[in-house]
Amino acid sequence: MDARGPATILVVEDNEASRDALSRRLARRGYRVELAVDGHEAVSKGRSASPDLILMDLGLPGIDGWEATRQLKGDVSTAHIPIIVLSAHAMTSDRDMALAAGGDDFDTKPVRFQQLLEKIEALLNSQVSSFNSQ
Amino acid sequence: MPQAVPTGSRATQLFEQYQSDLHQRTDRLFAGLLVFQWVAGILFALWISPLAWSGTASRTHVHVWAAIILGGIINLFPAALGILRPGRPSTRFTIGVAQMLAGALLIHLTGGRIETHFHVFGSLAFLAFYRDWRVLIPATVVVALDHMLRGLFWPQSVYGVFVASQWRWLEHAAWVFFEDVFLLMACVRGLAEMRQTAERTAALEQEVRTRQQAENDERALASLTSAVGLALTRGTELRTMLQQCTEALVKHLDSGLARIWTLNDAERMLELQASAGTHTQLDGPQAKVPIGVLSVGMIALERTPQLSPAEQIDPHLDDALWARREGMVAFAGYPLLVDSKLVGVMTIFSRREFSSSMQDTMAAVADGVAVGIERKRAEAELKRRAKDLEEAHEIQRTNAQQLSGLVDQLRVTQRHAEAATRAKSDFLASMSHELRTPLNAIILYSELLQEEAADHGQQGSITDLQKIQSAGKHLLELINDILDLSKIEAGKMSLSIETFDVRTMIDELLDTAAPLVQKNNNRLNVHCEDTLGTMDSDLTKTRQILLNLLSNAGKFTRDGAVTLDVRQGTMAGRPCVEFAVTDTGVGMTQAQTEKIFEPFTQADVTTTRKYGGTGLGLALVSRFCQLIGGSVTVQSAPGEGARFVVRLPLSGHESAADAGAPARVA
Repeated sequence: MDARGPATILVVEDNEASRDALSRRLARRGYRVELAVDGHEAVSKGRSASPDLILMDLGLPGIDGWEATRQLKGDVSTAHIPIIVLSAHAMTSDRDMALAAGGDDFDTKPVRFQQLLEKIEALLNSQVSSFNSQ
Repeated sequence: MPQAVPTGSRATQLFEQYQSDLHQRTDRLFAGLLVFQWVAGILFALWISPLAWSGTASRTHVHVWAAIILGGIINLFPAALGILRPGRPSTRFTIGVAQMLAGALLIHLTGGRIETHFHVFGSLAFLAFYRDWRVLIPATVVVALDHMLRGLFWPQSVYGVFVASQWRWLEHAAWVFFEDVFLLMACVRGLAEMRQTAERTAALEQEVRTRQQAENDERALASLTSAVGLALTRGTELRTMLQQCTEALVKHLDSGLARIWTLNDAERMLELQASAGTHTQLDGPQAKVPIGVLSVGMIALERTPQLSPAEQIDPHLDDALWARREGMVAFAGYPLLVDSKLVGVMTIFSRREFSSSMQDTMAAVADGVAVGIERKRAEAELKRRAKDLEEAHEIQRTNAQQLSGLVDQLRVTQRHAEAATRAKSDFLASMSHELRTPLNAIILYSELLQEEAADHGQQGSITDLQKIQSAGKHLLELINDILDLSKIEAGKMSLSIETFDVRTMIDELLDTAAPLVQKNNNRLNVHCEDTLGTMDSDLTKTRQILLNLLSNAGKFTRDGAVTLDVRQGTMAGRPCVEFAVTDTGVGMTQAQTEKIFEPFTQADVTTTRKYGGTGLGLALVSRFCQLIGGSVTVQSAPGEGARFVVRLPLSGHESAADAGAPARVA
């Protein structure tokens, strides 16, 4: 990680407080944080900001998290970016749908931060190892 | 029925009849004989001395004239009597005398020939035909007088000699008397025989009559029995049946009045139900007779048949002379008994005495009628009960309809309740989602602030922030549990079956569970069988179940021990894994253990405040166990800890599907 500098994480969250708290906590852990408040912005930021990982809320105004995930994963320029889907629903069907839409991992809200960090690190490391192998 | 007086009078009647017949027959016999004697006398006279000579001049001999005229007088008058007035004593006495006179004339006409005296003996013998010895007396007297007078004054006329002993008549009379003695004996004997014949005939007649009577009686009684039997077996109502019986009694017994009363048990009263004969109306003074009153009432009271002369029975229908006027001679009354239970009384007045066979038959009729009455009553009772039953049935039908209506209503209510439950579950699911979003912020911020406070060394704030975080996490637990429960109740909880190693699952579980158990200074003991192997089940839910139980045990135990035992077992004949969580904590009462698996029912409401927790943990354990196809049981006593045993099938596919089904329907 040190070799690449701090990783950039795109937080897609429509709720301002959640977005703010999560981004500040991630920033405190040394990540660069980009923000998106809806599905459209998530797709555009995903392309323009080229984040290393995306935390995607499912319930979003405009196009929802599933659709945004599908678009990002359908675009060759963004398909490689790991996406962790976050849902307040916590229904198994949500998890299945999220993963089916192309999400790489799934977690529930409220976020258990330590657990989320472990998932983020795991995905980033796998990116690094795949990058290194390339 | 041999009866002396009627037979005797009949014998006398017959005897007299025979005598009369004999007298008349004999009278007619003598009538013929007398005419013959007259003609014979004339012929004798003409043959022996037709002419009386006086030189050459001759004239008809006087004997001829005597034979014609005197013989005519002697013979023809009694002959006329015999024809015109036969049978009378005067006729035969006249004939007796005439026969002797004819004999005297014959003796005279034959010139006193001794042989003609035989006419006298023959005549006497003939007279004995009358079997009436009195006829012999005047005849004998006439013979004796004739011989005496003619013997004295005209011996030639009687003895054929000119001189004869003046006592010769005595000798003749003695011979006549000699014959009379035998004739008299014959008469007496003949009469006795005649009387015997009469008596025998009379007896024979009587016997024939008796037999005929008996036969008629038998026929009548047989007819009576069959008529009553028919009446009793017909499906008519009680009164008609009894009326037919009384009519049969009148018709076939030739009785004057037959009546049947039935007992009204409640009023101790006999009620006239049927009457045939001289009276057919059912109202009147004897329509209702209390038991013990009048002959009828006495028969009912004493329960014995009564046979007595009709006139000794109470004045009938206010008419003291009724029995005599109607010619009633005999009365018979029978109590109607069924198994010694009185059901009525039957009475019969008759113009004839009752023979023993009639009595037998009447008693049998009484028995039959009693049974008939009882049967009719039983039928009536049966009908009444059937009607009651029908009514009860009707009520039941109505009730059933109402019940069915209620059930329909209940179904509607249940549908509404189910819809409400689903709505509630949906509401809770969406509510929990809505709650999570702000809670997400709260928890993130409190953790963020703790980190920042730690950076700035603001120790006081950290404590407060930890409390906020703790409250937020508790709220999160609650929301998660509520969400799970509502998912189960809404049928939206699905299983994710996978194969996992039991021992590995336990080891991973203990990483999380050990701190929860040990926080109250408890010791955690774990015993796992070595041969557990793998199981096919929902790993997440199995873990959740055990975590909840261990956390629960740690929560309610202080400075004690919590033990987890894992072994193989069987459940309903199938292999299972048995997880037992035992603690040494506060324990529960029987009442508490019974409710412990219901949502929001911790042992009591203060428990939540004292021990924390959501009150949903054990409810979820129970629901999850059901979902996976397993079971959970609890054993506990206050102060003696608790032991929860969870059995989960080794292979959870089928049972999980079974257990899941109802949850989904609900």
